[in-house]
Amino acid sequence: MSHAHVHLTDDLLRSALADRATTPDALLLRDILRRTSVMDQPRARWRVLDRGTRRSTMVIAFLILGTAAAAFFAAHFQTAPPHNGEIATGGSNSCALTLTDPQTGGSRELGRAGSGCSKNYYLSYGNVIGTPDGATVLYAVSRICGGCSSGPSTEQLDATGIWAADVVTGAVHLIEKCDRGFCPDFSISGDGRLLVVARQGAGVEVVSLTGDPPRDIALAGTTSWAYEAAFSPDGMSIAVLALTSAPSVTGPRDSELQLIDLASGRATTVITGSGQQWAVAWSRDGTRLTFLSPLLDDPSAYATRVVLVDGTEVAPPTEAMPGVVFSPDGVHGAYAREPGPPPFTDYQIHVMRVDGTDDHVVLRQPECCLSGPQFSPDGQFVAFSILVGGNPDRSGLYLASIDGADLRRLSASDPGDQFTWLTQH
Amino acid sequence: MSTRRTVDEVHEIGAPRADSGSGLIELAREGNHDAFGRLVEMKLERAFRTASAVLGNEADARDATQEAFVAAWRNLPRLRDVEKFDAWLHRLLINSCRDIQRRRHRVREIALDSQPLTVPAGDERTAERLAVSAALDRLSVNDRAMLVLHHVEGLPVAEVARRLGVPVGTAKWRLHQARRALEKALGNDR
Repeated sequence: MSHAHVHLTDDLLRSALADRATTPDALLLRDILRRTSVMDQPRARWRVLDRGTRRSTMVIAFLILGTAAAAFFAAHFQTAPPHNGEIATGGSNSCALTLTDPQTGGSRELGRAGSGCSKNYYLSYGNVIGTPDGATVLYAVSRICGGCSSGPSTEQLDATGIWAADVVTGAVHLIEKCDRGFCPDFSISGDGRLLVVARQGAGVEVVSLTGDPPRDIALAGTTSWAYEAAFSPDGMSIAVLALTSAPSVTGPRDSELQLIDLASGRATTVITGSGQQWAVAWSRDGTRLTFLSPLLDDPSAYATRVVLVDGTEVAPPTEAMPGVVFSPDGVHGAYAREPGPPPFTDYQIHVMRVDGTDDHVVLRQPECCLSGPQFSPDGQFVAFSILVGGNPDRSGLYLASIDGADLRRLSASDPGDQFTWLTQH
Repeated sequence: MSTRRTVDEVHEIGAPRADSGSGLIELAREGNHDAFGRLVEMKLERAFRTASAVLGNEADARDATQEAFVAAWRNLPRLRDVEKFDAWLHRLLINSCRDIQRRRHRVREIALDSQPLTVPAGDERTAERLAVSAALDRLSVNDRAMLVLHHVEGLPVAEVARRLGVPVGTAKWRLHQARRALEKALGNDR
């Protein structure tokens, strides 16, 4: 039997899932308690320590790991701090990228992507990246199918793609159309001249921002399903994360890390991993790669891995620290903390020195959700966004100095994590 | 110093902690089976709803839920942070669902195209829901779990990320991928 076309809306999906979700009978509770009542709990070594000792051990471990991580990131990831420019914000349900001046709070729209955008068209402005000289903002306009009431319109498809906007004039031009309106991941080279696009099902494409023709590069082995790509700091290599086989609806998604030599166009496999790896990034000196890797026994949990470019593991996997970002001068780290216990009433933005000291709260609020933070190019401020459902007076883009003073709301629209702080052009 | 407390004492400490179950979790972690029983009572309905929505089969959901709580009891002493109990239990539950799914696939393959849908004439909405439900069965357990967290439990993406212990961006991407997989299973992107 073949299905007639079913237009998948949020409401339909919710109804279908609700049909499946049923309530348990009393016998299930009885069975669980009966089974567990005759089972002994193994005593964990961790529990042998009392609470005070556990806390001390954790603090010491954190300081040791924090210091090591600080040294690593300071040595490999820091760059010279330029001057602060405007903040470019994307997000959903908008028709153009917005630039906000962090000094005055004034904002301006860049030119509109496509010709027929309206707020009802459910477009997402994401992957916002500034060129190193601060003169251009690159961003991807994708359609969000979940909100579409009648499928993509011609106007929507007209607007979707990877765009470049001139920061001074606001003029935009299309760099790349995206397959069916969904844009893949891309990154920019350190000199701002090249863009690499992970083309799912077609290897990677290197796009010149200076007018040279684009270049397709095939991956090693049989895969072509690149989903992340990142230039090395010297612009000579590209790290690529790719699925080992075409994505299957029901099958596992294993992936591998490949390295492309840009001069020869040759790709080699660095690591083949179980499950899907994420967030590949280069060390500042280009000798190491870091990425997130799912844990074997629990694919929903991730560990941070660091490998040499030949695939040698140089650091044992450590618990992932999602959301930690480091300032361009390598002095500070910042992260969003969303702690329990329920009912989840303590959301925080923290800044600390990279050696783990002086960890302090920059913002604390009782409601979900925080996105970001991102450091200013000079490393003295953090920007983050707040989305409080049903409270537009609270939502928006915010800015604070790293000591927590000078907290300001820059704009009322919430860009989620789709924003970037540009260097001064 | 002994830290043994009774379940009733825990419930007298204060409403927020009792409601959240933190005190019960600590007691259960110390081997108090009564506290674990209360905890199961508190968490059972949500866990079963999630399992049944993921697996689409009450009998399987019953097995998965039972295995998850048994694993929780066995492994509770290893849980360092009681505040992460919900996320931890969710992972145990999804792992159980995955195991059940693997076993079920070994027993019988679901031939989607050979199973006619019995739909009352003219009831298009019901037909669509059945089609979506059938398509859900073709997704991976992880993808189904993502959709259940967001659409059945109603968690915003940031909460889904917290529950799974992944960055918000990752949760968004995985939710998007799950949605795309469902579209594909429905044949919408051919």
